Amino acid sequence: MTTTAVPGYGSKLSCSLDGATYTTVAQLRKILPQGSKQTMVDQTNILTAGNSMAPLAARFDSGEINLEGVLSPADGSQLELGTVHANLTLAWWKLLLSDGITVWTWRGFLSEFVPFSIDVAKAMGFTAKIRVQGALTGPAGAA
Amino acid sequence: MAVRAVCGGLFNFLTQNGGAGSVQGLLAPLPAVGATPQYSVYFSLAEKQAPRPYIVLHLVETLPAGETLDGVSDTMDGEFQFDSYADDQVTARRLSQAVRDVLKNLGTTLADGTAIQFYSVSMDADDPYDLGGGGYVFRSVLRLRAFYSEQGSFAQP
Repeated sequence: MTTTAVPGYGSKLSCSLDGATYTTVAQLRKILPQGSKQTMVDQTNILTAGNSMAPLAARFDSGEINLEGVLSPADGSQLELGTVHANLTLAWWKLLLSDGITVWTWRGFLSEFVPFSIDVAKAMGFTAKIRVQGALTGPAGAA
Repeated sequence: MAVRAVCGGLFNFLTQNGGAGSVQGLLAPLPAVGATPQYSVYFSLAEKQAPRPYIVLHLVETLPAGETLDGVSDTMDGEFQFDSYADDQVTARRLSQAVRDVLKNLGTTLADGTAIQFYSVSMDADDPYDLGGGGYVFRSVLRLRAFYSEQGSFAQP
């Protein structure tokens, strides 16, 4: 048995304002979800069987997705991130993994945007965060 | 794309460009080609008994300046070494300083079409070099870092 390992190179994140027409964000280096977390309620009481606590999942929060890329100052897809941020747009997002098949979708705000970072010894970069609303939807449904 | 185009461009700049006149004035002249003066600048290794003072140019390392999910950039982040050789330390140092001062802030398009922007002096030192039984040659070592693009432009459409 071998391990399946798929490179990140070639994955594409796209953004849409209408859920129909998507623009691929150019020159991303990293797409890093911080993970979905459940809010747990303790429903332990004197009738709870056994000695353990009895947690109950109440809500989940899909959290944020961090983006990091190399700046191309005149690129429209990177500039659009600033527009989505400034207009408080609840955008549609679609991630196509490098296998060319697997797609994840979600909706979210571009909650943080750093349009440029400058270091004399490096290529200029940009960073952003997507605040996810609802769940990410993957090949097996909501996740 | 020509191989080592950036080195060819730097060679041309140091030997032919008026902006490097302070360097050319310190180099040993070579026989002119037609009306074009030539100076003793070499790639990687000087010829035997090269007329001094002379410069040997090395491409120490060069890596893409950016790598993304879309691919590797044409813009490179490179380090160049300029070895300045002369019969005495003072002359070698003077030549090395001239190269440093001409290139350290240079941002231009070289004659081969390479866009280049120097941004750092990463090494500047003396390093005596033993020529053999007949005497010594003194060397000053200068390393400069630069972003460059052999595509001719840093910004791609």
